[in-house]
Amino acid sequence: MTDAQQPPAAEDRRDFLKLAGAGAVAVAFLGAGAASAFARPAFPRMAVSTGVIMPDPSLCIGCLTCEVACSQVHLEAGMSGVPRIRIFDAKDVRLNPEIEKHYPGRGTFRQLDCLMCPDAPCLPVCPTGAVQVDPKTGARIIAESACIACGKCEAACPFPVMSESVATNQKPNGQRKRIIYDPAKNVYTKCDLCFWRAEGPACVERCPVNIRIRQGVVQSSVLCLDVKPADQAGFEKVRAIEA
Amino acid sequence: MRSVKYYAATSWGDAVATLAKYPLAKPLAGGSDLLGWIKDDLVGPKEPRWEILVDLRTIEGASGYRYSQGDGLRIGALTPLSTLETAKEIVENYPMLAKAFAAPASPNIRNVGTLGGNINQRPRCWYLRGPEFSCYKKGGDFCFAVTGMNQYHAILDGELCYIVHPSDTAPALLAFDAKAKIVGPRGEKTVPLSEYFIGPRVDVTRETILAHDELMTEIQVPAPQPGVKTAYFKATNRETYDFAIVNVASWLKIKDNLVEDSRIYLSGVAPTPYRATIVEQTIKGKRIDEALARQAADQQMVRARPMSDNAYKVDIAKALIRRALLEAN
Ligand SMILES: Cc1cc2nc3c(=O)[nH]c(=O)nc-3n(C[C@H](O)[C@H](O)[C@H](O)COP(=O)(O)OP(=O)(O)OC[C@H]3O[C@@H](n4cnc5c(N)ncnc54)[C@H](O)[C@@H]3O)c2cc1C
Ligand code: SF4
Ligand code: SF4
Ligand code: SF4
Repeated sequence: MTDAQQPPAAEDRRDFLKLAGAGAVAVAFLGAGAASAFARPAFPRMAVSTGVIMPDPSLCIGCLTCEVACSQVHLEAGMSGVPRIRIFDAKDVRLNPEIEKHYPGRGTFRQLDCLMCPDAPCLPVCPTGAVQVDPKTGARIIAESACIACGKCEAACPFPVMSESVATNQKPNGQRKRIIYDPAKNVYTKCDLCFWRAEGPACVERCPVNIRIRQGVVQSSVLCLDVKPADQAGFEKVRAIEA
Repeated sequence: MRSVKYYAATSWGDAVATLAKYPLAKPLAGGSDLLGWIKDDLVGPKEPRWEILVDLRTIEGASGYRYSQGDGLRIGALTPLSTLETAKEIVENYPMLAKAFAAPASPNIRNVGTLGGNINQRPRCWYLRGPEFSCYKKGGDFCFAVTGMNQYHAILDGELCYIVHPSDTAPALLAFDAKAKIVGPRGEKTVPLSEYFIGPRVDVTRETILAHDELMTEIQVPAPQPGVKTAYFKATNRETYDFAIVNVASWLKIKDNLVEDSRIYLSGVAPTPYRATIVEQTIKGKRIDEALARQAADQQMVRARPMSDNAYKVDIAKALIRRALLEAN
């Protein structure tokens, strides 16, 4: 683990805010440190997430296992079942030759998820403090119990998703950004790196291409979905992949 | 085959109570699907080894059908398919349904196989039916079809699990907007068949809304309407005795040669019977001809997401949709 991945130790925190309804989870600020592309002078820099879901679209076969696995584990944990990761049909993606060889004719896709911004704009705008930094993983998460569904975090998120007309799953849910509204629970929700799971994010664990890569059936030095440090470099890398 | 306990239910209430009491009890109809399942010992983290079979055939009044011009058709869930495919009232008033009831398997299987059993049968994915594969549907943690052999798997709506719905009768009943009567510990309810089937996203371990202790008692088909044209086509590898690669059931209400309303369902293509809503939208208010049928089928299948080995099913689905539309012309 690099320093950037390390969750902040309590004594490192210059400031510690207990926010309304935040319960055990609180936001940790590390003080205004190094400048970043998203430096926001009004807010001190928050602890970076230990992880961000790093997709490789060239390996994706659009099977939607990640979406459904995401829903399942969150439902089982008592949270909204809206998939936090979403797959979109993407004609511009060039497939990895290994995928063309093993799984021909499956189409080309993009996996879009939260980028775990180093200075997450979704966090400070929340009036109840529901958008938080998980102290263990550093993931930017939404505490559903504190969410009043005002939509400010969604509006603040700078990253749109592709049009739902090209969403691979044909069950539109009105998703526009990396934060998604769940009408069933009347809350907003987002990727939280499955922070409570010892196995880590369910999508990374269950992606069948990942499983075949780990088994050596598909030869690839990178995974279809991986967890990488969400420092500035990781953040820029996901942005570059998505561009 | 290992031994199991047999219980002859005396009433629907008795069957429900027995199921509610014993988590390892399973309803038995004709047994043509369930007994094979047990014989193959298909178990997994979420698929128990059933120990008690609760026979529904011994319930009085559970088999048989009634037809009236006002009420339409009511079919007891335990009615054998062979009874239905030749029933005069069905052949005369719902010829498309009679065709669908005659479509599954072989005459022998249709003699024992019931309508309720056909609608509630488990899917035929060859990994699911292999005891050595602990896949998602049995509560395992992998879908072998996604990266394995999948020539008979889903081309539409697959996610996590890529089964196709196996029932030949379901799409026909859905095209007629049939309803299912369900009994459970909290009493009876009637639900549209269109809300009966669930996909892997809702719960990968089952295919219907039924809970462990709920049973389908009856299928209700609305009375036939004037001006309605129907069609049913099933494509298989073998002439007979085979599950559908694709089947399509269409119900078109035509007025002044224009399509006023329609319901078009496919089976064998998706984890649940699949409603071809794009076809329905495309033909609404129009007169069906060769070009429109082609356009509607093509537009529907833009939605298809074939797997490595089953893109051929997309072309078959298009062809059957075209045929069903033109037959109604
Ligand atoms: C060789 C072969 C080929 C076949 N080909 C086809 C085909 O081409 N097309 C097709 O559609 N089908 C096909 N089938 C399936 C066949 O039609 C079904 O096996 C039959 O209809 C099931 O009816 P059953 O009464 O024997 O059900 P059972 O085997 O007794 O039960 C099937 C399942 O439904 C449940 N069940 C039964 N009744 C009820 C009820 N009333 N309420 C709730 N749950 C219930 C049981 O618990 C069980 O899980 C084939 C089967 C075989 C063996
Ligand atoms: S939800 Fe949007 S703003 Fe918030 S961390 Fe993720 S990508 Fe950044
Ligand atoms: S599980 Fe993997 S291959 Fe399947 S859609 Fe998700 S990222 Fe793509
Ligand atoms: S398609 Fe469904 S039933 Fe078949 S292996 Fe995959 S998860 Fe199991």
